[in-house]
Amino acid sequence: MTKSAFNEILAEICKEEIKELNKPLPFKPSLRHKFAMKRIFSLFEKNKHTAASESPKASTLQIKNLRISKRLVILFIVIFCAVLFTGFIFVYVSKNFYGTVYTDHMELFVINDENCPTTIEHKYFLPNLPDGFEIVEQYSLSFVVSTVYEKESTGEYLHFSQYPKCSYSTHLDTEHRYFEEIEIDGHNGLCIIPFEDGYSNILLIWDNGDYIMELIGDFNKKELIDLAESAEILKN
Amino acid sequence: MFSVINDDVQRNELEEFYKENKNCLLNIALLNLQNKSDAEDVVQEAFCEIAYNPDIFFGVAPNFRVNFIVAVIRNLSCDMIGKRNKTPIEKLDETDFYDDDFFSSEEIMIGNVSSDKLKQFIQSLPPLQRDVLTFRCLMGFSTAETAEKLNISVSAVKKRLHLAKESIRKFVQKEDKIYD
Repeated sequence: MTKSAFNEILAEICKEEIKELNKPLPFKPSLRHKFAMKRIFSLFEKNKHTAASESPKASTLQIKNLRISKRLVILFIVIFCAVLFTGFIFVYVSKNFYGTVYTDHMELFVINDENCPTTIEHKYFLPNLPDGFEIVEQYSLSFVVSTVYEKESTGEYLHFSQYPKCSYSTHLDTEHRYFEEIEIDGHNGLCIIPFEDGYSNILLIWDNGDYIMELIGDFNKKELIDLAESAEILKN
Repeated sequence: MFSVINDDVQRNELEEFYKENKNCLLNIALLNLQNKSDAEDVVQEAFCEIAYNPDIFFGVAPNFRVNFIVAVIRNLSCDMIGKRNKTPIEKLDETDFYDDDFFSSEEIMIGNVSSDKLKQFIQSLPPLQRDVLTFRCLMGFSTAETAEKLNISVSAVKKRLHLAKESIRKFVQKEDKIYD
């Protein structure tokens, strides 16, 4: 038998083998495999641009992906750990404020403080105080004006504060409280309300266009909003 | 050193080749490994090697490329099984197996065996031996080239060749006796 005849036999065997291998039901490759193959083919282009500086072995390892199920498990563990260590968090964004809400507190910042006073130029006050409320404490600085009103007979209080927008950032206690967006004189704001008692320690925060205002007191939400809307500039 | 692919044509060629033959390639790996995920890994590894050393693939004549990759995948599958079982599939001794003129001479001493019977017998040989036989005889690679392409040692190639050759020789002798 000649060498070429022997080779013909081998060639026939090869052809038949490939034919046989194509016979079984089509192998459905997994997504992981599809992605890995895409990356392998893209290695050609990488090789084209990156010359011979890297070690092939090291790059080969990059191709070996983790299986999708393993990836999901790892992702889940990472998220679980993040939640465990930092508490449940989400980002809050409204028209005038943004911040991060944690399980027990909230960080709040002003979105836009352009063209706003950097110090307090006009002080605000509450002209329509309920009967019996009197100023018991007041201080005025360039970056904050704070006034505490109290009704001596019942011990009810109101705390009204004013801040320049550029220096405003706060940490609010939101444990056992919920918050909702409100509008005060057409300006966007937040109302933080205790879960148990909706008539005390309700806090309003709003942006009146020039300053950030805070009002907290032993009133219900509507009463407090009415008081907030009545705030006026104090004229000397 | 990386072997740098010359142009996108080769990349497309390889990609097309994979698309056309992926069923066959994944099946051969699955056949050996009996595990879909491992089969995918082995195919990826084979193509990864080509990505870093395109010459091992593009140096093979186009009509034998499928057989070439099949042999590579079969070899990688055996490695994987060996690693899985923590024992090498093929234990190599230090003995060298010398090539004789069986594969290099123009006339091959096959005796009176018919082509069909010989073909059947070669098909029954262990696939790893058959692959080496194909690389040496059909594709025309030297022992060293075969070893390089299959990523195995030269002595492993020689051993497989020797075993294949001995098997064929014994088969021919047996058939000759029957014929006589």
